[in-house]
Amino acid sequence: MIVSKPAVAGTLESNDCYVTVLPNHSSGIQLVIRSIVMQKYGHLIEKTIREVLEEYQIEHVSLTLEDKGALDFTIKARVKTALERSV
Amino acid sequence: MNGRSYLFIPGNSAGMMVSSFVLDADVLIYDLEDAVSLDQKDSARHLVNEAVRFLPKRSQCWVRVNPLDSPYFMKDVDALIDSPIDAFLLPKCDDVRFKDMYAYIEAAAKRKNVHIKPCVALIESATGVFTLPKLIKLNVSGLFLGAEDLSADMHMTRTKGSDEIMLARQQVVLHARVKGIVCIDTPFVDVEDMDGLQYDAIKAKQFGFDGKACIHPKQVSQINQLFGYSDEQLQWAQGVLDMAKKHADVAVFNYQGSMVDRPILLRAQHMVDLARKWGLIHE
Amino acid sequence: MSKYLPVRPYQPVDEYSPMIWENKKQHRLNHQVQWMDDMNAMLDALDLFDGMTVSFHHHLRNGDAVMNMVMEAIAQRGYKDLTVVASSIFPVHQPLVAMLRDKTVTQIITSYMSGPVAKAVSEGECEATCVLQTHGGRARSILMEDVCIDIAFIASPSVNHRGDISGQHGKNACGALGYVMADALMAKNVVAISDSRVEFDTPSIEYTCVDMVLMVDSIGSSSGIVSGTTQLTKDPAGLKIAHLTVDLLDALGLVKNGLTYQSGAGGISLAVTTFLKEKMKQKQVVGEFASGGITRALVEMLEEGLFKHLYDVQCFDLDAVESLKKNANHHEISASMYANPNQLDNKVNQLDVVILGASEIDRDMNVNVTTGFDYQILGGSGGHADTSYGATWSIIVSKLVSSRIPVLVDRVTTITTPKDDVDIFVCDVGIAFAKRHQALAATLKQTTRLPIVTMEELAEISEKLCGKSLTIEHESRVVAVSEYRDGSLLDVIYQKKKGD
Repeated sequence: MIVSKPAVAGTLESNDCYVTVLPNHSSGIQLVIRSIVMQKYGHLIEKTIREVLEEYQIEHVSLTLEDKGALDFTIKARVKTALERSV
Repeated sequence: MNGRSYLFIPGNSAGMMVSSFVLDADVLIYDLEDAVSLDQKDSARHLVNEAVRFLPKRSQCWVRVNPLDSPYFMKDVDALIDSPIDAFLLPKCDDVRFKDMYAYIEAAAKRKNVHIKPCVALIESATGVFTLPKLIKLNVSGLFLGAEDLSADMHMTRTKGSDEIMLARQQVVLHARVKGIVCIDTPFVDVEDMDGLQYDAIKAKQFGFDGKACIHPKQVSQINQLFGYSDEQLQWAQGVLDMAKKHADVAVFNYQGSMVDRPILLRAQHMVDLARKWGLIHE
Repeated sequence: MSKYLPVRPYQPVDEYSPMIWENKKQHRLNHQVQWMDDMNAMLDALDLFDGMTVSFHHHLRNGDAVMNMVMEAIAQRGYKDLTVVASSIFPVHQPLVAMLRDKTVTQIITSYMSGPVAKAVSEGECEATCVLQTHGGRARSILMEDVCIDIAFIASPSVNHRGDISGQHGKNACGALGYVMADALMAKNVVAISDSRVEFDTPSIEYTCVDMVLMVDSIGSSSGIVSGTTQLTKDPAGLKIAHLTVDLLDALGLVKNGLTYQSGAGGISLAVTTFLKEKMKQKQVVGEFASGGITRALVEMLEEGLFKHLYDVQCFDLDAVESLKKNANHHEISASMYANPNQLDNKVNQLDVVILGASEIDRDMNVNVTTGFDYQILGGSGGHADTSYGATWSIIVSKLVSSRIPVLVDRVTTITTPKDDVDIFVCDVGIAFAKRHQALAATLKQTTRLPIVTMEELAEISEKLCGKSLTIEHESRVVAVSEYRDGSLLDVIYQKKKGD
């Protein structure tokens, strides 16, 4: 899948996250993650994002995720939604 | 399939998803339809799909998909057909629409090589009520009354006394009983009016509904109580079963001054089974 | 100047022996208070020195102006190395941060710390090790002269012509002055700072304890006393917990005549009090007393005849302030009478049940209300450890997970209340009993519909939801200690790691 236009998904409410996806033609996978539980679960948030990117076979994307304590299932859902909107 | 309370959870709310599994509703209905705006249909579909595969399952989980003639119905079904949900709640049903939706769901199940899910029909239109006799000839697993949309379609004025939906209620219950499936009453929409909820729920139970929809978690415990069994009823049922064990050799016996025959015995067993499921009695 | 620090390690104690303090100041019947003209005159008349210990109370909470007013005046005179013994510290006390940085203040001893000062202490900006006490422990340490106060500055809503102090009158009345009384009895110098001269007969503090009185324009804002408390929770999961808790109280036989009750000020605790009220009305029972921080909800219960007495150590809202003035059975008590373990007949020992919150709890039921998972100080015991010890049933109420922050952890960041004093944990997933109550838990599981679970089951669910957390790092410096109510050392608080 190729990310060809900007897209967003999710919200900044508690238990949710806000994902912004931008096309980035050849710089690989650029992730920026900000989370209220970064110290505890930042590694799991990043893992979840990368798993989705792999599932969608994305090689180049600039993805920003602003997290307000979303569980992994929410992170997955919001990232998938943003990616599908960016096609 | 038997539940007392059916709680709608907005499908795009991450916060509500996360707490949904601790709320004591017998059935959680994750809503992709009316609770979700058009620009978030995709988002809700993903969120519900991920949630039902992740969250601890302490209640039955249904999903209300979008209507057949929307651009979302097929995607909703494709996403959720192989998930652990217990049923689809199909909106705006009449016999023809249910048939078409069921056909698509059946095909989707076949494609993914999974069992088809039970489908519950939401009766919320004039044709929905009118075609009930034909509807129950199809593979429908439950009838769910949606009085808000129904009253709009019928040009009714919706009131708390609910006289205007009496016919619809009776028809839904009648056809559910003929088919032998569950029937669920429409939600009481004034969430601040707990007395009004009590009155409405008692009415619904009198009419014969198995359970009632809830649109707010605070309605759940009252609905569970009203559509469940009281301690006296459970004591009676347990007493009947204990007595039956003692009189295993006879077809009819006397309990508390009344005749107990097979139908009553079955009813007592059914009550105890449900009560156990609802956590009302222990081993 | 050596700073106060508890060092004796904590040991569970079954019973504390009562001790009697001599009120040396009550013999000063011919004593006359000095009326000072202004702040400068007052400071001139006091014996100030580097390293001295000054104290303040927090009954005006985030509406207090006195601590800042006094500390700024002292700081301007260039004194350094002060110890501030404040019963609590709020965001309004932000000017203290600069004083930490320039070493005007080098130690804080308190029962609760929040806002910029708490942040500064967590980041290592206070030179000496701070001490976080309980409300009862603070009174004990002052009365037993473990903590010696050179000057107590008392924000006084009203003073009369004799120099008596009352919290109930004046333009910024705050009601009970429970946390002040030990200071007034024991400090070498006691200064009342007031903005209202009123004549009254029933003082909170008698003039015999007061050395000087300074009148100022305003001691702060009494509307600020509502700050730091919360509204009833609206969260369905929180409401479920509150309902479960009241059902549990009923199953334990606690909804009875003669009930003695206290609850914290968190959203779920307030909901418990509200639902308990309905249950008590339903069962037509009358409780003996409710105690601690008094809210409107408790005042209503008093006025509706559901409790015979209220024992008030601080007023959490203006309805409580009003009630203290007009209701004969609404009594002001000192922090010592409330929660000092060595005080004869202290109230917490008479409690049947206390409902409390938690920032963290571990499987053994040690509880943390002092720090967040990132080592940021966000409060302190207040009365948490006191009431947990004294109450027959200490019940912790909290959601299992909030915004991916689990309350159940392998090891609490700071022990505020030890496991020996905690009995039950009620969360939205179920009810868990301390290990010593396992027989009772089994019985209730058999005979009631309460969702009885184990801490292990809860931990499993919590980890499934959140995932496995990384261990949070901290700096090696100990910035503060968690002192148990009897003056022993319960736990240490490390400095936060730098960064966001």
